[in-house]
Amino acid sequence: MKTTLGTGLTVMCALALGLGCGKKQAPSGQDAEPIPFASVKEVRLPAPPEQAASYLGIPAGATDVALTKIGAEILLIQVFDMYCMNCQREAPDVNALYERVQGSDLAKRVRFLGIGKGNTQTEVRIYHERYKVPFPLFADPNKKAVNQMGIDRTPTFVIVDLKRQRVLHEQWRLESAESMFERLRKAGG
Amino acid sequence: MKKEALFCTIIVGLLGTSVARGATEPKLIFDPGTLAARDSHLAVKVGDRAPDFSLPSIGGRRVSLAEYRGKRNVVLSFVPAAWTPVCSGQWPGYNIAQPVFEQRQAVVLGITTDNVPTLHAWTTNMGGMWFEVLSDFWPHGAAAKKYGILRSDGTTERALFLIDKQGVIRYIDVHDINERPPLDKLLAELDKLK
Repeated sequence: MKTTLGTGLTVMCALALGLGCGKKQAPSGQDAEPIPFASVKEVRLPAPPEQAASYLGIPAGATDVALTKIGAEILLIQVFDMYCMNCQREAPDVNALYERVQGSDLAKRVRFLGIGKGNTQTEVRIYHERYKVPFPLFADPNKKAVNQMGIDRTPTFVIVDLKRQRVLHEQWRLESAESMFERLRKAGG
Repeated sequence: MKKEALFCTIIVGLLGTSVARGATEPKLIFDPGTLAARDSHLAVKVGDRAPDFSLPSIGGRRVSLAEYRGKRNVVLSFVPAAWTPVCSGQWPGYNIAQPVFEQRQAVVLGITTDNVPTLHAWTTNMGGMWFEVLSDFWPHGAAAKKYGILRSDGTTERALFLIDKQGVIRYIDVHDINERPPLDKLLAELDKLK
């Protein structure tokens, strides 16, 4: 009886470990090798509406936006896709992270922006309105920006230190607003 | 014996947690690789009266195309199969686009040749859909055959049919099965019906 039970438990253990811990992909929410700053430097996005331009510290009348010209010390880039289930699921948490930053001493130093991988302006607008995203989102219908950055999976989050011209962190999926807030706090010194 | 019972409880708990977590992971999606872009012969054209059908929905009722006549424009969204990559993005996208369809007095009917339990599991995993999800499982692919989009492996093409309130087909996009059809084009065609 004990042997049978013991064998059964061993099999169950193996199943539990196999189902829960056997991921081949890079784990979500954990450190990945950050993309090089040079790839971020190349990215240019279309000029956003006036209110968003003001938030990002972009001069009025600019025809496009170089990420490195954004008027902030720290930039959090969210690469999302309107069709991505994980992006949809995490959208409220990303909004909560934004609000957390806005209510902290990081508010003036950190800026958020989203890039819709393969999404048209219409698709970005649908996502924006559905989740009431409080920061600027940009369409990237031909995936030019995300390809320049070498980012394939969504949602991906990238923390860029614009002042020191370094990419500090990159991760797939948010998982926790609080842990990303701590990363931003750390990035802000 | 008590120790064994406790150990069993812990392991069952672990299994439950693992399965629950797995439900949101991409590993549930089966990737069939790149398929032939098209594998069927369209049986209808723009201007034709749309063939009617009556199919079971995951909500438990039968849905016919005719019930929308005179009431709503209809977007038929045939997708090849549940639990596959492009399909598992296309419908969640339509799911958050509900207002843009409603503004155009349109409903979406999502159809595959999977059976109802499979469609129920898949769409529940995706958080549920606002639109009717219909099973063309039996007689297998009967509705898809009427439109000429049943592939030789029993799945359907990735196809959109826009049907106006009079029941006339106004737009057809039998898309490359490996790619998502452009939403902007569909919305532009819906705008023409205003």
